[in-house]
Amino acid sequence: MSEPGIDPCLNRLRRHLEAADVESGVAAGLWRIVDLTWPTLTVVIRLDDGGELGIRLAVDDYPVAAPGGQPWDLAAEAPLPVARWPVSGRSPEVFRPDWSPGNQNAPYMACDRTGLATHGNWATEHPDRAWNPTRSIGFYLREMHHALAAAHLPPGDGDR
Amino acid sequence: MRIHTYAADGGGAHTREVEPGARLREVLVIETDDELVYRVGDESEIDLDVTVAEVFGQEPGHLITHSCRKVAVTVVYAGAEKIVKVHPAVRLRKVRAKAVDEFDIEPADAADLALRLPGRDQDLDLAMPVGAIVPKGTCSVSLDLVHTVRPQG
Repeated sequence: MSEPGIDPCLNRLRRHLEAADVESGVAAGLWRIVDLTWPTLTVVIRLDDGGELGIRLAVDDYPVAAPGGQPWDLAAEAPLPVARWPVSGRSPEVFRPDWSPGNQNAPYMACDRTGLATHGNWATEHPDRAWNPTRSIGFYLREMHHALAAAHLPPGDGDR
Repeated sequence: MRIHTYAADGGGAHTREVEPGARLREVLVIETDDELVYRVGDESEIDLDVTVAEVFGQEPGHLITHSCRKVAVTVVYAGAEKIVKVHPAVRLRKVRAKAVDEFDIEPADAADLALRLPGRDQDLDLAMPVGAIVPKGTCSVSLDLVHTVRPQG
C-alpha cells in the first residue's frame, strides 16, 4: 500500500520487496533482506557453500535506475575489503579486483547501475541480463544469487 | 499476513493479505476435487482446515494447489533429453540440481546453468514450484537447461 508523502520510488520498492519472487527467495534460503533505510537496501546473498555475502544497494530512483550494489560488512557497517570478496574462479568474476574498486566496488553485471553506466553496449547486447525500468528488485537478487552460485568466501572468512 | 499461491499454468503467484486465523479452505480457490494443497518446497499434503498461522507462523506463506502427484520434466541440454520426475511442490532449484546430476555435468560447468521454457529468453525463477509452470490438464513440462552468457567486456 502506498503511503502519501512517501517517495514513490520507495513505495514501489517496498511493494516489490513483498512480491512473491523476493519472498520465495527468502523462504528458499537464497537471500534475506536485512534493512531498508532509504535510499539504501541491505541484503544477504547465500552462497552454495553456505557462506553469506552482505550487499549494500543504492536504490534511489528505483526502478528507473538500476540498483547499485557493493559487498558490505554487516558487522562493521562498512564496505567489505577486497581481500574478503567472494571468489568464483570464473571469468569474469562478479566482483573484479581489477575493475570493481575503481567503480564503487560494483559487481561486473548488467543488472547493476555501475556496470550498465560504464558499458553502453550491455543493455542492447545482453537484454536478458540487463536492468531496465520494468525490472524489479527480485530480478537483481536472482541475478546476483545465480552469478555467485559457485563462489566462496576467502578461507577463514565466516558469515557476514 | 501475506500468502503467495501458485497453481498449474498460473505463470506466477497470486498474492493476497489474509487474517492469520483464516483457514486455508477460506483463502484458497480449489477448482477440482483432485487438487491438493502443499507448502512450496514440501511434498506433504496440507489439511485445508488448518489456519494460515498454524502453517506459516508469522512469515509470508507460499502455497501451491495442484492435481498432479508427480510431474515429468523433460530437460533438454546440449541436444540431449533427460526426464526428471518430481513432486509439483518442488522448487525449480531442485529440478535444476536433479537435471545436472542426470546429465552428469561437472559442478564447475554447472555453476552458470539456468532453466528456461523452450523458446523463451528469460531464466525461470528457481524458487518457484515446478507445478506452477505445468500446462493445465497435464503432468509434464519441457525445459531447456542453458548456460548463462554473462557480459565479458
